[in-house]
Amino acid sequence: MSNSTIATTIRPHHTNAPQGTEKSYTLIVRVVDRPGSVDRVVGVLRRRRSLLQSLTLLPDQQSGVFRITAQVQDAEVVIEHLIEQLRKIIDVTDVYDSATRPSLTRELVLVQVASNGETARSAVAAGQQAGATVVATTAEAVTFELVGSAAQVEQLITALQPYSILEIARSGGVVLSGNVVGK
Amino acid sequence: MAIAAKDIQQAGTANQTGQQNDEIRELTGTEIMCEVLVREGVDVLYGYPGGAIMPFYDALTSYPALHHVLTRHEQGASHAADGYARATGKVGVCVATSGPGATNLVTGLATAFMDSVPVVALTGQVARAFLGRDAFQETDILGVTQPITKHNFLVRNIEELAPIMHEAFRIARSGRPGPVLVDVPKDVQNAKAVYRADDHITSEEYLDSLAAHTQAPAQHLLLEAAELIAQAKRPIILAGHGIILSKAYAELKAFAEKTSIPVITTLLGLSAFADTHPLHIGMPGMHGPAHTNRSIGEADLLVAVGMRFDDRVTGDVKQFATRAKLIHIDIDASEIHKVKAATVPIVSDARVALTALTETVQPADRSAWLQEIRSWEAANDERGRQIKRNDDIPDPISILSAIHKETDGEAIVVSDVGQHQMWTARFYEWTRLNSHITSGGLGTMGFALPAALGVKMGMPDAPVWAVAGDGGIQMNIQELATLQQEGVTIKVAIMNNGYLGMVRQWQQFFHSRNYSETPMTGPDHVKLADAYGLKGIRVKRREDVESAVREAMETPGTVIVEFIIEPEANVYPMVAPGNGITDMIEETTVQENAENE
Ligand SMILES: Cc1ncc(C[n+]2csc(CCOP(=O)(O)OP(=O)(O)O)c2C)c(N)n1
Ligand SMILES: [Mg+2]
Repeated sequence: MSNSTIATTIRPHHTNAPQGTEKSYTLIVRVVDRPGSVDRVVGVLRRRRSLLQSLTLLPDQQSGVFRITAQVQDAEVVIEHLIEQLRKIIDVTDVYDSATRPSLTRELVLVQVASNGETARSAVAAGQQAGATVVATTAEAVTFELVGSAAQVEQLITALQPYSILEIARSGGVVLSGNVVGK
Repeated sequence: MAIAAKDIQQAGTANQTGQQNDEIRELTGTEIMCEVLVREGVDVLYGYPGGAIMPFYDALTSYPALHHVLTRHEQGASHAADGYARATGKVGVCVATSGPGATNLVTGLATAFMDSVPVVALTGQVARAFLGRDAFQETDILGVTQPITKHNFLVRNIEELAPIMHEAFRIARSGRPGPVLVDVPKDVQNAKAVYRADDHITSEEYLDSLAAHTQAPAQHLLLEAAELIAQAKRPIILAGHGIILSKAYAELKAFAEKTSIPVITTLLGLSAFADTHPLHIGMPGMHGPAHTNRSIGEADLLVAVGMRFDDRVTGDVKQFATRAKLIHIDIDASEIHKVKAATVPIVSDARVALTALTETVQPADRSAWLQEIRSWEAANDERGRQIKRNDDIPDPISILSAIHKETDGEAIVVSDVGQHQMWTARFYEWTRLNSHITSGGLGTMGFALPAALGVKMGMPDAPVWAVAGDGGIQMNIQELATLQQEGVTIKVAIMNNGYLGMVRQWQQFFHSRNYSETPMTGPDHVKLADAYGLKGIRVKRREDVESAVREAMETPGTVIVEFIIEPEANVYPMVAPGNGITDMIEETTVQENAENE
């Protein structure tokens, strides 16, 4: 809070979070598909200067509704405020911080590394060791797929770092809450 | 108010009102728009025609209940709708064509948005087949106005038109009010559909049903708040625009009187609580008097109602009310904890919360605290210390006092933005409820004249004064023609200092008197008035101030009174931006600096 005397971390274009309070939060926003409705959600995230880490937009189980998953790096007070701001958007039907409900979070990643006869074998071993499966191979490259937590995705990327990574495509967090036991 | 002879052509159709409910009729989109406007209780709309909105203007002539005012600029239309809404509490409506017409509404919508004013803007849009193809006068007005509207709609088909129109009014009025824009493609305006009024509930019906279910704030919050109030030795009420928006005047008064807590009214809270009430102590912040800011600094409890701790109120937040706990009452949950952490947060309508809180608190006597504040006030002699370097020329205080006197305090005063705005806020005596109208959050120069047009049309029995600077009056001066054509009578006071005064003041204080682009010449305002068919009066001597104001009041029609004031008069005291609010620049300090130069 601006009222406190704790030093703040200055983050250009983003909220100044009190030092050491930043954490990653995953917000689930359900928004009716109407002209401009998704813009409004993104607009609030931008205007309120939240530090976005990932943003996904997919149809919800309810037709005519989009489900936006936004991972933001911020302090708790800022997140609470952001949620209230998002709640004010007329087309937003529901918004919550996934940490406040039992949730399952998964992320899909595809990683392609350059390979030749010499490196292919060890690259595949490194990828499989990190839990990935090989989904495509050519003479020049191997492509891995992994579904897991954000940490597992990071581990895979680290494991493949020694090889020449050509491209990484991540889905961002996919979160399901309710009727699940956390983790 | 005399509605000027306006040739209202009766077209063949007989869609006078929305009362033939049981009949099933096929109407055009624009007829549906008009039906909804009538059902929503709209009696006046401000706008400007053009290609994409022409079907609407065609239908309009069949609805004499809808009085359309042709402003001379769409910005004027948006401010007029805003002024009408602020004065009446009803929804103000403005209309524009696509492209440049719609973009001209932007400043007015942003102004209304910042100050939570219920406005509905109707814009024409290019036909659907042309959308997204950079058609002539196509502007993505949804995108443009996204951050400055509470909500906006693009009507995709004729079926959604009526529900969206009603929803726009509902959204504009409910909760924390705000502007809503409805963008209607030309082919949707021309399409036809069956319209049954009974299928749609009006915003009034909706709000009534809401009110029936409104609950008082949770009992534990009320008890906690009452406990804090009981313990407080030096409490202060900070009353904001929320009091006016929820018409909580009587409830605020009852609460303040029962608890004997002194009341500070923010810029937009002025006239929510009479200046003459013994508990009223002033306006806070950048140009608040010293005793008001000092009382916040010394307070042990703030009861903030319908205000949002704007930075012009708080100055440096770290130095703001450091000793105080906070009971924060606001209808918008996102305002709670935004700037200042609340000890007891109460998300509620101001009227509902104050009623419940007044019932919960115990009466108390706090005369010692009030007397202490009064002693600081007396020691400072605020009014006496304002600029009077030249006793012969009109000074702002004498102008404002004359307006109050000649209108028996019954005037609604609409100020523009600049030094004159701060003088008006500070030195006009606010005795009539909701009589102070100004652009607070956005600080929009050019607001006063068109807003005053809307205010007067909403409150035809009240004398309405617009108070503007020589700079801001030029920004929407064209609306004099609208006032003239409509036969709407307002009085306009121009405080002419030959400068963009407020900017010049900052240059004097913070840029070592480098008056870059602030000296300004203007037109002959008497001739200007004459050119618009209005009366103009120029006042150069202080002794003529009162008689000029009287003459303006006695002259029928809109009158412009130009007061030539001290060119380098300043607004004192002043808190430099970024400083704590008890750290004030007083006139004496500045004089010393000047001598040292
Ligand atoms: C549309 C707009 N442009 C610029 C400003 C910045 N501004 C604030 S006060 C001011 C000077 C106003 O001059 P004038 O209308 O003569 O009033 P005075 O301060 O002299 O009383 C300016 C330029 C503004 N508030 N609004
Ligand atoms: Mg000026």
